[in-house]
Amino acid sequence: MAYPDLTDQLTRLRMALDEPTARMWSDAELTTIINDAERNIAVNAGCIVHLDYLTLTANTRAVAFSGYGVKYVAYMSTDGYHSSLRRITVNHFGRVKCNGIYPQYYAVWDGNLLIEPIPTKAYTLSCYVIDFPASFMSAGTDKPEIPKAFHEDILYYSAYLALIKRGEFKKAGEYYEKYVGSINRKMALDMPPEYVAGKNDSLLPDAILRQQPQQGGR
Amino acid sequence: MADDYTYQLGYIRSRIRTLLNEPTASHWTDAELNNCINDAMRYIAEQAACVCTIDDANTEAGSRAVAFTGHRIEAAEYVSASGVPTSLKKITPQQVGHVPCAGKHPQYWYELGQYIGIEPRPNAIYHLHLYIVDYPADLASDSAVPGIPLAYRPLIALLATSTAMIKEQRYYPAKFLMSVFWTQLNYLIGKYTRQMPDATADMILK
Repeated sequence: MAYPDLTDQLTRLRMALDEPTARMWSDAELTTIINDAERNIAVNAGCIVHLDYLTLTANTRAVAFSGYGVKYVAYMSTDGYHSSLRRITVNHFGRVKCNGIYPQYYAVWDGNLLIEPIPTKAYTLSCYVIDFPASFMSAGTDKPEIPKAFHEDILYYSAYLALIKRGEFKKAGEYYEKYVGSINRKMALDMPPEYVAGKNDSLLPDAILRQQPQQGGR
Repeated sequence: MADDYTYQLGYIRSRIRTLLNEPTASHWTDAELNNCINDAMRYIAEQAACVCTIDDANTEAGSRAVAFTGHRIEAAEYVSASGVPTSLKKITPQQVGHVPCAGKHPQYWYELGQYIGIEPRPNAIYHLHLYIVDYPADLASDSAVPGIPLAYRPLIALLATSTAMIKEQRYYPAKFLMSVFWTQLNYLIGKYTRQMPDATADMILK
């Protein structure tokens, strides 16, 4: 048993539930709840991200992706040049300015990326998808696939869910609050693009540049 | 990559039975819980607008109305003879006859009941694409998988359990689960369904 494998998660959860050995909750029930917790974290935090390469089909707008959602899409030209696609809605098709015939915009619809303009050949897109855990933890040594920073949140969410069975809603609410607070704090650290360093961030402020050297003494 | 941890009907029901603390049917029958599950799934699909299809449709000469099947329409496109689709602008029925039209092909649409109306009134058969927000098919067998996207499937058990609890007059627990359900649903809608388009400024180093 080693943190954060399934056996370890079960032990921690049983401590939170104050039930060291199975009485009200079977191990099978708690295993399902722990897996549900991992998926809940993955979907809310969007913390499992995979790079998939998608090949477009000529004269077809749609290309399927697998995952919860899409984080970022770029078109790769044959010389390796990447150009980010802008996200639009399905109401924008035929109404956005296109500079050339290569893929420039995308919308998400029914598990597909819909590309504007409609591709004229088999372009390749690099697509960062928000993914789900690939497998179900069932063996005691199985470990969660979500990043390490989120492992502790499995306990919070699974304790909240499990406590509903025993009707301990106050305690369940405490764990849920801890879960939401913890997830939100970690997601706030995942800086959104609008907070990237700007041009001026690499320049020293005027006040410092104009400051004269200290003479010291008289 | 496919998620092998699916939320089949049988598994969702067993999750609900865990939350209700009723491992085998006594107060709630399996059929009752299946109804709660299907109701929950439809409700989530409706609220989150997460079951989406693209249907082909044709206008009729002399008629504005084009019928559709589903919950509602998100967008409509006119496909020209050359095969290039262009999105139609959405208007309200009150705006019919008051919007500028360049040509006789479809340029605007509005939704009214199970129809969309086209402006200007079509003088011929025009080909349309309808972006429809649809309902999932009901789950009947225990191995059936919900027709809503993966992101929303875990919420089915929360809503269905909340509904089931009302039968036993467990009102506080039912409200507790509903509040968690709403928080999570609203968050997921913002994160996965109602994504804002990128602005030009998003691509420029400020």
